[in-house]
Amino acid sequence: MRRKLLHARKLLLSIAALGAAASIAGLGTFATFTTSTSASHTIASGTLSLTAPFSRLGTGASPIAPGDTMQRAIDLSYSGSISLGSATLTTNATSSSLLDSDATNGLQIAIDKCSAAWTESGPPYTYTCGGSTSTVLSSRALIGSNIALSNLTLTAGATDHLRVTVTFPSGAGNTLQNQSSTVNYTFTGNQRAGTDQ
Amino acid sequence: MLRRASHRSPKLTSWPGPVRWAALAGAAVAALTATSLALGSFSSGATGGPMTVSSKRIFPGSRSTFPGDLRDASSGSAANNSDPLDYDDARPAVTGAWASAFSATRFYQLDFNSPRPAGVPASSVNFNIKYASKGGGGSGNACIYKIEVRRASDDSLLGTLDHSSAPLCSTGTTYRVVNEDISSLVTTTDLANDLRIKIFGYETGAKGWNIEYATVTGTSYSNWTLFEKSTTDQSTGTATTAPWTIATAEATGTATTSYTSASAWPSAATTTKYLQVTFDHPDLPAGAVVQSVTLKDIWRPISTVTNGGTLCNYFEVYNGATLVETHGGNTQATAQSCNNTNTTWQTDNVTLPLVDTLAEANSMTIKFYYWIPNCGNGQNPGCVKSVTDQVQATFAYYLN
Repeated sequence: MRRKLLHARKLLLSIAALGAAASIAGLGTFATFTTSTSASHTIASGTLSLTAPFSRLGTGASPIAPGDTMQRAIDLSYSGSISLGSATLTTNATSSSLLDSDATNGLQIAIDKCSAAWTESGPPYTYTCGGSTSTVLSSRALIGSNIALSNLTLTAGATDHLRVTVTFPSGAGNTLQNQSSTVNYTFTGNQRAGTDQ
Repeated sequence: MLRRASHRSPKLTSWPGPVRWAALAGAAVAALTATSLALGSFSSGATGGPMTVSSKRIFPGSRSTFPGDLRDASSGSAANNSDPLDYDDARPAVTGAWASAFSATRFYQLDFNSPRPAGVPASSVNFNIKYASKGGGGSGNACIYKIEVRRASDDSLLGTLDHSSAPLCSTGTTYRVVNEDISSLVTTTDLANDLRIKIFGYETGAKGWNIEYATVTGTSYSNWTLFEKSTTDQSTGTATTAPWTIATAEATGTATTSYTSASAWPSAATTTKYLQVTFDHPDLPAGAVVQSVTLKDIWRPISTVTNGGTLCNYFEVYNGATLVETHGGNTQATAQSCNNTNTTWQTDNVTLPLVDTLAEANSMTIKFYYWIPNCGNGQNPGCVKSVTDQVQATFAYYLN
């Protein structure tokens, strides 16, 4: 027994000695002269903001007949500090009927843009463009999700002047008589792609 | 030599279950977080609306019908020559002799007009008939065994009103009125505009029936009435078809498909000699906006007018007793139209611009004044009767 204890003590001493030697060697390896200076910069994220400071989209129409069209203006402003990369439109019916559910004979939507503010007359509202026009959305069924919009400026600080035209196709049959729908419009802007800053 | 126990780390497969799942979940969260950070970007939205859009209850369109009421004053005294099946006017339509009991091959069939705007729900739709035995020696009771409701266009069966267990019989020549509710079969104006009623009956003494009227009534925003445009009497087992003479344009000139005035017309227009028709059931609904009304009249002389003469007319439009407008004058030069031959039908399509209210459209009476200038003396043209193939009014309107 005594012999075993002695052996263990020797073993611990050996380990301690090796550890001390290793520590000294390590200190020797990392030792150097040092000095320092400091610099800092501020990184702040921008804002992305799509607003509609002017909109006639809340103005409905009743009663309509096949062949009728409804023109409504809306301005989209990009008031944040970051430009948009794209914008989409989502429309949904909170009160549905064949007017919105019939993709062929129900209501159709088209959007065009004027380089200047639309000149409004009415109601019933109609619009004329004193500048140049371009197509933002070609005619399609009114209801849809994330519908891509084209030819928008999307630049931070800019405003796009849009005219939404909702058409009741002249070929709509008698099954679309006495129908009523309520439609919401949501324009969504997504930021531009990341760039070197 | 003894092999020493291994001091290697435990294998993963030997980890306890909860530890393994925690590790996997952590890895998944880390992966999702990394993905989110990679795809994250700013977005912003603006809303518009809500926009409520409602369509008209009845779209703009043209609906045509014919008059059921016809008065012939060509003699100078007005006679009621209206469609016998349209009115309760003691002028019944008379059928052939029925069998004394039900026979599947004996019926009386009515096809109705189509004046309703399409695509509108219909309610309270009834087939209304007033009938009795025609009477005579050995006559009995007029009985309805069953009524079939069909589409006129293809004769398809919509439904049957079966009274075989208790036939609906008159008491001899005393009229019985039956109002059959066919609302469950005729649910829209599309069906109402394409309606055929087929009555299977008998007369217990094997005699004919008198039918005082047979109409269909219903409601689509407002009440409406349908008149027959053609009947097929197969009470005897053999079919005889008889259209209402001025309902459709057949261009045959025969007595069964056109109306011949009772008397020859005079040598000069006079307000006491005329043909009068009344459109008493266009049934434009309350609130309808009248866009236009057009009258079509297809007619000719019964024979070619002799000695270079011609048959002329002009007409007046009334709302009740109130004159609304006049088309043509009482001379050949100013007439609405003239026609000297029985080989050509004169078709007058005339817009009635002053019939522009609901009341005027729903109660429109037309008086046609005919004359053959200078007819009836010596070598002058002969005075002739007129033949009318069709009188039709077309009403363009909508209902908001």
